[in-house]
Amino acid sequence: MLVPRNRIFIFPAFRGVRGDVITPNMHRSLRLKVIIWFLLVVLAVGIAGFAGFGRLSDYIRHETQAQMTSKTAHVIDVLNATNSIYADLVESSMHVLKMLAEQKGPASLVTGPDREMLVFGEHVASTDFSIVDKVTEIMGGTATLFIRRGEEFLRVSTNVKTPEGKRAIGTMLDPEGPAIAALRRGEAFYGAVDILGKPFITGYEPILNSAGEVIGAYYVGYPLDTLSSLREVLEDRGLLENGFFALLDPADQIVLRTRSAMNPAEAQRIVLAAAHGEEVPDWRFQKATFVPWDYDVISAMYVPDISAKTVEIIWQIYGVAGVIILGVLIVSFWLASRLSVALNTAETAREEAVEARNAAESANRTKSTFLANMSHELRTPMNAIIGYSEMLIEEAEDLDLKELTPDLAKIRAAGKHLLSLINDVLDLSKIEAGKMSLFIEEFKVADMVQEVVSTIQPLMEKNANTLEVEYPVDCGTMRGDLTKIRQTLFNLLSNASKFTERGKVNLTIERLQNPSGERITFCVTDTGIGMTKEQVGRLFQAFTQADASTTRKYGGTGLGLVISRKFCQMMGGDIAVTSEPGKGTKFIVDLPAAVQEQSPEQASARAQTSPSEQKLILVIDDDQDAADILKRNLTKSGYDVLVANSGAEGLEIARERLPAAITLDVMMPGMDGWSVLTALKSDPTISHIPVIMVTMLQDRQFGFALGAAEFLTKPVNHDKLREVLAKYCGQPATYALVVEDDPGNRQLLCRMLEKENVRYVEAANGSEALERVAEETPGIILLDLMMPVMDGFEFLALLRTRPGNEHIPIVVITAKDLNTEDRERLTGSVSQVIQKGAVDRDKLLHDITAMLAKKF
Amino acid sequence: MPKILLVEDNEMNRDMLSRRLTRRGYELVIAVDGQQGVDLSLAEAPDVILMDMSLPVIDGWEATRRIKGDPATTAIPVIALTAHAMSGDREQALAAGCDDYDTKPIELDRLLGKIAEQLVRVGKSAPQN
Repeated sequence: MLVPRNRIFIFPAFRGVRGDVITPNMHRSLRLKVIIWFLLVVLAVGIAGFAGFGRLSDYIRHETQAQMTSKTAHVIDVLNATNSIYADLVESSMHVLKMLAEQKGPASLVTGPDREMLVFGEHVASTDFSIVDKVTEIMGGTATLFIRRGEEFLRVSTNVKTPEGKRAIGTMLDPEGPAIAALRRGEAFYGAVDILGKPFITGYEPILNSAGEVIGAYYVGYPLDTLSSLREVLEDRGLLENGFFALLDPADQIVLRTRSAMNPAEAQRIVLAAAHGEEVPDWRFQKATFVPWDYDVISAMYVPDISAKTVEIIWQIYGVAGVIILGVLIVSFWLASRLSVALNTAETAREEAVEARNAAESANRTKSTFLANMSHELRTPMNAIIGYSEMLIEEAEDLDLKELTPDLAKIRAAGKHLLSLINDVLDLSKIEAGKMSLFIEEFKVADMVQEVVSTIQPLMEKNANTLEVEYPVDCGTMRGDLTKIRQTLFNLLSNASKFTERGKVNLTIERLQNPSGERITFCVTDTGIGMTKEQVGRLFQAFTQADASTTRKYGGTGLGLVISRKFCQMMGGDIAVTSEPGKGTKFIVDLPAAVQEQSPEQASARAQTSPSEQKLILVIDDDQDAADILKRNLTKSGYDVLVANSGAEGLEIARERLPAAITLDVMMPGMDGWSVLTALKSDPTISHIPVIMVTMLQDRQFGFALGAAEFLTKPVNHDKLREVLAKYCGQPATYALVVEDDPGNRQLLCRMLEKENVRYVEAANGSEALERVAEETPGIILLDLMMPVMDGFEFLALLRTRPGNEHIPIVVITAKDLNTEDRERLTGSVSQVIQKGAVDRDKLLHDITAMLAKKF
Repeated sequence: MPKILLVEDNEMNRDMLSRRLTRRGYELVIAVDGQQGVDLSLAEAPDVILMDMSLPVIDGWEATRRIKGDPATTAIPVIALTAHAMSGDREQALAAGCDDYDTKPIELDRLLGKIAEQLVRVGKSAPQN
């Protein structure tokens, strides 16, 4: 067959990247498909050939038989036409002959010296050939004058030639022929006749004397030697390979036979058999007789020719189709090998990624162990240095060697400083390794503050700063990690003192009632050197101080703030900062009054992201390890995670649980990522869920066309993933609604919000505001009280009656002097009341962002 | 004079802490490994045990479990001392039966406070100094 030959041709021709034959090197997922594809093509071609063979041979048989019939009919037509032309010729020629003869005078027989002679008037036809030659000259053909001798007719004047080429004078009209009987009866004869072994179309008429007796005969005739027109009809074409058309005269002589592969003797045998109506194995005949001449038209078909012809045609088709199929196979093989290379590369990359990941994980474990050991190894000698120096101070005093005390104190101070640096680095490492845990206990805020203040006092004095502490008498207790809160405050106060000289450091503690619960804020304000915006921006990044020169001038690792902030975030709070160069800096520590217990993992998740409502993420990945890593990281980031190990399972879960987002692996067995994506996007109940494709292949266009929201390349960069997820499901769903009738004031508020990247919507009165709320629930409402159409009080009353709106935090900003009645109306339904003009921008913004954060 | 059993393998820490506590009016008994700590807690019946956690022979957690598992010594307060600051240390120490916990480097005043607290808990009083 043709196709196996193609394969023999292709396989050695294509070689893989490493030079070995591609099939063994081809990616396993493709190898089988390529082989199946090849077999399918071969099978299709084979089936087409077999199905085609039967139909094609039927068709050829039918066509050949039709050709036999039509050609035979055509031959008969041509013979008819030829016959009628000859008949006309013969008639005209006879007319000329008779006219020429009768011009000479009446016909009679005269007795000559040795025989009887035919004469017309004075013209002796027996010796003078001028009449017959004249006829031939005018009409062509041949002419003869016969004389009757008893029952015979003898040629006396003729231009019919004997085989020797002489005039056939003295020869007799064929006594067996059809013409003679008619002449004897004195009648004319027209028809095909064999004359001296050659076929002629003839006309005979009797010559009568004056007594009406038949004394001779006129003859004109044309030899049937011009059959070129028949050859044209048959175009010298045979029937298939061995078949042919043949024309037989009455004497069974083959007058004409078309081309055939048969040898002439064999062909003649077959023609004669057909003419006699005999059967010949493997041959089919059609026979027709042309009656006027008694000619037989034979068409002969050799049956095995049909199969041979069919095979030949199919081979021709295969010849053309083969080239196309060959092309298709080559192209598909080329594509397959390219895809294979891509897949192999991707697989290698994936394996490398897995190795790298394992290496990284192992490195991380090593790092954790190292940290644990290092903390022990570092602290033990520090322990001794600080301990012995303290002990020596005490003993020096006892031994009255007070002059040693300052030096010993320096050793102790240096030791403590070194220890604090080590602690910072270790703390941060622990936080980043997710190993920092909270120890929640209840303590008195005032006691804690007193303790910190007394510790910090020496530092304050060192820079000649005064420390002012303001806290309400009833600031009560709080639940939290005492050590970490103390460390945070100490850090902020020591910073404030460090960067302030001869200034004032203020610590204010406030207890606030918030919709999300009770909060405690510690506000540390200084009148120090302050910071620029850029410096503030870098403040909470690890390993950067506000300025590189800061380290040289002020010392420290710059890690204190980072650690403090992470501590606060772990406890569900945060640190905010505002600063102005030259004027001073303000740090606000915001903490819940009762910190919730957390697992270390959650704690570090909180430390990394802003507090957010837990969103459900569906991870679809067949690779359990990859899914586990994704799950672990997403859980850390505060998401709820469900894992599906197959596309089908993923679809099911997606429909059941309606996750906030889906991460989808592309390469999966069975239902691959693209199919899953298509299915997800074609189900209207889940088509809105953003799908993040996790792929090793760079098929972005394809994926976007199918409706993917984002692409991540394996191995997944988790920061990037968090960013993407935040974009699709962590984005603040809420906004600030600014309700204020005065356009100027409204604009002022809006601009403030804009600067802080808080989304806002404006409303000019309570009625408009209600409409906005109905459209989308805001995260916070900034409300003016005195407004036209619907004032703030009415708005509040209506808003709180509507379900779902009970917990929207509301900050009233008003110029109205609130009386007792007003205050009563507002109590319980607003979070805060701010008098216009007294708006502390920073505080307001801080409150707004904090309240909005609760909603995220 | 309240008796303290100090279980500590590091010689410097042992020497320093024992001298400083002695100066504060405590009687010190020293053990250098976990097993010795368990044995001495029974033999010496101290008022408080200061237990380092990284110890040879048997570690501090195991030693504490044994001390707390023995009815004769179960009432003696055990204060864990460790340089391990990794998460779970405190929980692990408390889970092993320690009554309190302090991290190295020792801040003497803080430790003294914790010792006094434990003494009060078992009906003893700290030396006035």
